[in-house]
Amino acid sequence: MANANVPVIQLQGIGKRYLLRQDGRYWFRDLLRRATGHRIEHNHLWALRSIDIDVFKGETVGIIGENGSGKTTLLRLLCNVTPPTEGVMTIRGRVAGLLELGAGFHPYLTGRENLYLNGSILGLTKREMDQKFDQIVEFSGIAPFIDQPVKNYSSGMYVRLGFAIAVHIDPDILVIDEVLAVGDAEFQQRSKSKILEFRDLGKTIVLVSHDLTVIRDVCSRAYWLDRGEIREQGGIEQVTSSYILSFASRLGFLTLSRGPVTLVFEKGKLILFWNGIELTKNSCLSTFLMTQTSWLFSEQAWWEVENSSEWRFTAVGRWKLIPVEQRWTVELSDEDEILWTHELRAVHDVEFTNDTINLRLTDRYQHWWTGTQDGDFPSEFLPSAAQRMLIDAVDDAIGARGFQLGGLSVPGISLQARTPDGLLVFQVLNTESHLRSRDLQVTRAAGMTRYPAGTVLQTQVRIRLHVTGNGAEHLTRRG
Amino acid sequence: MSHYLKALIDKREVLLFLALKDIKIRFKFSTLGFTWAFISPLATMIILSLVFSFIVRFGPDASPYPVFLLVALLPWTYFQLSLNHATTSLLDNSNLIKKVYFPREIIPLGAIISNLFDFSVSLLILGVFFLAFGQPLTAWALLFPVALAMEIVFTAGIALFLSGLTVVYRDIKYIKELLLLFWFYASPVFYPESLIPGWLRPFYFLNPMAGILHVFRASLFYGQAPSWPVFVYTLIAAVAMLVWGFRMFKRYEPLYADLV
Repeated sequence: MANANVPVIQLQGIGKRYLLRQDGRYWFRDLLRRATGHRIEHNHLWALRSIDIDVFKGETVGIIGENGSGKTTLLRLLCNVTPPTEGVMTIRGRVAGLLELGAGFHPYLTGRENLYLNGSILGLTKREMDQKFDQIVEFSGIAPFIDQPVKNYSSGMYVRLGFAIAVHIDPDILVIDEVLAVGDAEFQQRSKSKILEFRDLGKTIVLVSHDLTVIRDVCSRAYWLDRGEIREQGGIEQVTSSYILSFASRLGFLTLSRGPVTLVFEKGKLILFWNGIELTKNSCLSTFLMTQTSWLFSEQAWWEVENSSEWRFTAVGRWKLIPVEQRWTVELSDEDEILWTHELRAVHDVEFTNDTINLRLTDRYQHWWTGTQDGDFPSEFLPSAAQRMLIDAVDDAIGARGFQLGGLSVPGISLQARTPDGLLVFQVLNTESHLRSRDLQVTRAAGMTRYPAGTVLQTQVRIRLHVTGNGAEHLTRRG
Repeated sequence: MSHYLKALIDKREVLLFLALKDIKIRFKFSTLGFTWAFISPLATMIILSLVFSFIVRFGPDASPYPVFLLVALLPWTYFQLSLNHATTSLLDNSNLIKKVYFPREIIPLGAIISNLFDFSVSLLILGVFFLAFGQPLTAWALLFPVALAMEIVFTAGIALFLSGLTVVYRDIKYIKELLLLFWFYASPVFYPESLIPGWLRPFYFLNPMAGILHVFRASLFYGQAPSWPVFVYTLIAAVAMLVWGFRMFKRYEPLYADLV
């Protein structure tokens, strides 16, 4: 059974057909008609068709796709909730499905009573439940309320309890649907690390999420479902990147392409691809600044593309909260180079500090360098704070060395910047653990400053991909 | 069938927890709580007693009438409430069925088991009436558990069949109500069997509920042996109903998660 060559989940030519008819119900009329010899025409919908999936023991596989692509149907099949209409499905091992947290909790019962009931439905015996009870309550973090009816719980407490029980069932195969999308940031973080813990125990995990970041952090492989069929499968970075690219082109995001490099502009952020693999992560390449009261990010601004050509565009973004206009002129000047002119213009008198350009990279980058130093990014991310590798180093370029991805050499990347309006500070950092990214940052070295109307602050940015030598030649030249 | 039975035995804790849940929910938030388990059969009994002790009289084999009535009314009420709960039980638990896999028969069976609790409580009333009317018990009263087992088996069969079918054809719920109304009059609940003319009796006892109530009443009220042919037929019919009901339930099972 535990043979590594035998898939623990094996779907061959699986299809699932749903009845599309008056709420999906049969009516008594049909029975009468059938009894009187009439034929009944039903409308059918194939939610899934010709699905072939093999998942091996210990693998972590992501399922991505838009709403209505069949993801949830697929998970329901895996959890044995509903049988496939056609095809052969083999599952080896105990499956725990987290299709919905706290499914089957009854509002009138207390947390304790619901745990025992839910646990037994999910396959725990009373004795196992007695043993694990304290652990589950502790993990849920709602111990003081455990003897309250769950109807008095907040929705956050509800999912905490649901998740706590689900992960304590100790399954061989864990099937998870969008679970990480609920709850507060702290809970999401905890559930994510619990899933990673499961992965490290060698359990098999199938995960559906709209949050590609989670999928990327957890899974090694992915299937992309599109209208009930598998559109692409393979390494996690490749599949999620193609998915983002297709999404961008369908929604008409501005896309520049030159040679292996593709740059997508989406409302105040730039997503960078190389040979169809995204090198950036989360909020990608973006900017932010700080006012007296808050941080403002370029994604929060209202953006307008002023003009664009094959390799170049100019876009203007305006924040609602402060009278600052930012103008980005981005050019794919070569097959490995992006030139980006970033201008901040004060429309009225305005005060701010810390205006920063942030290149947020995938955590597959392991090694950073500057003109004078280099080092490894820490492999652990801290939950509450970003870790700065390099503080207040005044320099003209920073970068990250390339890495190997499934036999492919992914280029290193570097960020150079200069401004006529003062000094820039370069930083290299690991983000907080829920973002799991490497940041290359350039910040204007000025405290809270009052800029009169009409002031323009310009920064020239040059981003290069180092296809050969992984960017290290910068170091050797220095040596 | 045997591996289904084994799966069910493996899941007996779930069955128990589910039944317990039903009971708790029903009584937790009503002011009178468990008293309701007494009040409804008691009220029915008082009304029927008034009608059939003062307006229409059934003669000596139905007296004392309140005890005569309760001996059959309580099992009937159990039958009726169980079917009411079980028929819509799959729909009531749709969120569970759509999200988690477990043997589906646990849900209607849980509904019948939880009603067993109400039935046990209402038996206390019966005890009080036996004492109040000085009605003696004989050794035949030992047949009571057998009669109860027969009733549970038969009820389970019908409950499985109806609960599954209701998911597919929603109209079943209403048909069931009409059926129960008719069934109530076709079974010896409030009248003695002696009212049934001789030529009709073989057909009358084709209804297993008639046989089951016959055994209850013979053992507890009359303190006599039941009619053995009726007893044997009813036993076979009850088991057959369970087997057939279970088969039908399993046949429609693949549809439940998609249709509830």
